[in-house]
Amino acid sequence: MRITEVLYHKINRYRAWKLNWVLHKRQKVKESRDLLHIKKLEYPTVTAEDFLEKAREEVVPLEIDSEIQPAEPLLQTVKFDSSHPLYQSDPCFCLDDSNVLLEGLAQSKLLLNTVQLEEGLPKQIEDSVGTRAIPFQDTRVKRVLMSSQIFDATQVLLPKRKDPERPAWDFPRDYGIDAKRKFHLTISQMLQLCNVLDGKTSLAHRTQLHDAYCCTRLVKDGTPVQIRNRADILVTSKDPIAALVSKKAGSSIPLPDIHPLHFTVSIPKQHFYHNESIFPLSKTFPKPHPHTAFFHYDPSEVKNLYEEPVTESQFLSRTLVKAFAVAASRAQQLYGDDVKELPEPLTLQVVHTDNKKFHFGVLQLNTLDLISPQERNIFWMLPSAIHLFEKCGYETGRPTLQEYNPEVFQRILAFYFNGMP
Amino acid sequence: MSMILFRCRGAKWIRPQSTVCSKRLSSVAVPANQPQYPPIVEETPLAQKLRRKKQWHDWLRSHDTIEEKLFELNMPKYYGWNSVILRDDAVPYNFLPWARFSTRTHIEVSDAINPLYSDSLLDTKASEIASELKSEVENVILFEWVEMRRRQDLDLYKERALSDFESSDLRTRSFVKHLNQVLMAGMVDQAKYLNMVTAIPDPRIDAFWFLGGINPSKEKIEERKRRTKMTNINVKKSFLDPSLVDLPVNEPIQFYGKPILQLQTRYPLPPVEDLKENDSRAAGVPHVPYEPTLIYLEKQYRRATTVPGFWPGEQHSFGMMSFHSSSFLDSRPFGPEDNLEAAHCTAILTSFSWLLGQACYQGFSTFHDVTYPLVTQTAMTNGKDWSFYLYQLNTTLLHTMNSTENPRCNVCWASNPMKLFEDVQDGRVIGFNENVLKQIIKMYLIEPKEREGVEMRPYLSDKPYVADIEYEERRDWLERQFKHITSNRPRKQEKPEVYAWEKIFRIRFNDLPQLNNRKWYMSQQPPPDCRRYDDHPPVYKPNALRTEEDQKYCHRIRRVYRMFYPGTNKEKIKPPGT
Repeated sequence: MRITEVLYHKINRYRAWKLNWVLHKRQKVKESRDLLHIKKLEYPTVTAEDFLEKAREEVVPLEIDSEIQPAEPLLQTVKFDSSHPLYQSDPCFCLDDSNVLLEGLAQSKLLLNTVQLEEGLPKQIEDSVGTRAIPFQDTRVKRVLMSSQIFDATQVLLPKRKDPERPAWDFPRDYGIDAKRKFHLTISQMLQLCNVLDGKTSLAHRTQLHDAYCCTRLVKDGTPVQIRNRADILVTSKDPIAALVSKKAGSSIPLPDIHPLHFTVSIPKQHFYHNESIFPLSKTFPKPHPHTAFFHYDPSEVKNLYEEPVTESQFLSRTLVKAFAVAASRAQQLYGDDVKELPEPLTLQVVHTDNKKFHFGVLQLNTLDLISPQERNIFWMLPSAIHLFEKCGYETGRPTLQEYNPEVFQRILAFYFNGMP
Repeated sequence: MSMILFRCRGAKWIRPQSTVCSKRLSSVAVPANQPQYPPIVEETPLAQKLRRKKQWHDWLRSHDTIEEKLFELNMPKYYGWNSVILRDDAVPYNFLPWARFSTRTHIEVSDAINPLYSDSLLDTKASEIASELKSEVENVILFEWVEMRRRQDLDLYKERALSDFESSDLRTRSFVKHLNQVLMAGMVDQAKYLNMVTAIPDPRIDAFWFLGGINPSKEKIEERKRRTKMTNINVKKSFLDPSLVDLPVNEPIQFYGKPILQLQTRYPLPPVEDLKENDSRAAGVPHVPYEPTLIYLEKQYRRATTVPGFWPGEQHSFGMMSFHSSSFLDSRPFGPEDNLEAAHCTAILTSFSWLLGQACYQGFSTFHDVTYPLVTQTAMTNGKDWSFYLYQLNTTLLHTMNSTENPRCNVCWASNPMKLFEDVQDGRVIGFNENVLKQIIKMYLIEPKEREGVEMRPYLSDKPYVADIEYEERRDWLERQFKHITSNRPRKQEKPEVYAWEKIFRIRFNDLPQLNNRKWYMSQQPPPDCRRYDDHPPVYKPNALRTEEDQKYCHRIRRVYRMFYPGTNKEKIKPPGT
């Protein structure tokens, strides 16, 4: 029965009262048959009032033990107040997965002391694209796409659809594969294709981490900034990737200027943050070096602080910020949380995708001193994201994959095998 | 709630009529000296009832595509079937007899599982690979138990903390996926077919079937007794013969499962043994005739969904093996013996459901038996403890008398639980058991093969998918409606029901004569359970959406959307004058 069901909602109480009187006005109260029977047997009778009066005197008041505490609830809800384990009294700038930097690429470069040497990826990596191939590569990648984005039978409630032209229009809610699952299916199956090309070697050199939590604490100009970051899939390797250029290569390039804005603009201040940096793997693991990170961009999760749509530049800057967080947390694990000068540069490859467009980048982390003009971190990236396909889904009842682009998987393959003997 | 008025064809099944076809008498003249008499059939009430059911089963069998067949199971019920809900992470006490009865499974428990795994060639190959990959697997265990710091433990920004069960389940799921990656990469050189295996994490497994031979409930018997003297002309449900009042009922059963990982291949695994038409083991399957609510099973109104993790059209449509989490066993209070049985129950139900889904995608159904056996391998694990199962599906027929009289039965070979390792201490794995790893490797090494000389899809047409239909409007409609049904989206208007207070004060006694709102049960309407899926008014097509082609037709056709329920309206309507 529905709890909210309203009973008697259409009764006029006055008329109901009158009707009851009309129905029962000639009715006489009869003596009950039980009472007649008892009287016939000549048993003594007591009125109900007298009986209750006696009973009330006999009742012993119940003693309640005041020391018993109410039981703890089975599912504990976390309270966001000073009792929270992560509560710190002085607030800190915290950038997490659901936020983007307002000024996009320019702000992220300024914040992270990073420059771009040239357009596009480094030459060593760019040359290796397309040199390796698995048998029937395109057919198999197409099959992976079809099975992960069309034929997977998950049906969950998807985020609300909105039409910017008609913002008040309510579309019926869609059921289907959620973006996160699509990402995990696509990327893990693509990595499986890479794995089986040379099973033994990849087994010895690569490991995948799902849902890796990398958290880094940086200080720039005396302002602490924390980046909380989730690497959805992190491929780690036995040997680190060698440095691509010298540490001083970026010192001649100036950082962008976003005056009058401060570099922390649109990063909110929070009381809840980790005091130390976190890298999800322990140092004893035999394949500990972050090699390639795959980040998922979910439009329903990532929002601007001021509710504007996320721009292209902000999407590209997210690649840099997340890559930096992974590399910096690894560096801080190796050399301590307060390290400024890194003994060796740290290189990380990164793929940022919303299941359709793929953005590729390479980061060389030279320093964690974010104001040093002598050493700057270097970031290579493709000038814009590449589309893996135009449409992948059901079109008038037929599963269709339109305009598949083989370049994306070639690049992933080149990234994966970079540094493998 | 407003009074619901709808056309009702009654509960009796009637073949849906096309909106355009008209009946036509046969034009072939029959000569008088060769009269063709109708076949002689049994006329007992039971035989008539079974024949009526068979009419529906034959109609279901005649559909061309997989989706239409699965859709057809939903056609009798507008609000869904009141089905028994089974889940793979909750098993009541002493459930094994019912689990075996509901899937008609014979179970054999032994440490060797099946002679299939004792083959010497397979054994040597597996032990070679096991010794090769042992250190890698130990690394995986260390990684998942010690070296990896999970986001769930670090990220404390959520509203609710995870319980112990949830976090151990997460670790199990992560471990099995990682183990699969390592084994696939390590074995691909020895077993080339692993190149062409699709590994799907956390798939969706649904299965729906009818189980017969269950005692009718008290309400059901009362309802049947009422039907023996029914005089309401609006309810076209036929009068029931008094001899059928105590007949056992069919229970619709809906299973929902979420394995950790499943491996799909293009070809099925080879059968373990041949299909026996008269299996002596079938007599040993227990018959548990009690109502499901008596053994603590829940009933809900749900759509009949049968999904083996992927939609029809996927090339890799046969299962090789699947891994299931047994973490839920720790929270059961019934002791180790019952937990062992609960693991068997889950393995039987999930294996049967997955294979039923695969069989349905080959055109079989709960009413049409498989013509060849299907096989799958199942592992139940919480990371440390592993138990292995080999399941062969010989029959899908479980409705009406088949639940007790079907000469075939499904077979499950099970192992006792084994420990992969004892514990992890000081960065080392203690008590690693290589035999368990060998068994897991053996499951990967059984190669799926094409069945030669077997007709794989005897009940399907050449174009077995909705996507193959040429008529665009029909193809699109069927595809959308099929997904709509499988999504179990709730109806906008809830199913009308009789509340307890109404039953007492309005139906049993007329205590509220002043209450003026009329309810559906006060009119001469048939009950909502009788409403068929297609019992709804035509859907209006707004003028703006009508195409030029629509304008050629008369107003009756052009102002409503055409409906393409399974098996109907296969052809386009020809415009008048052509």
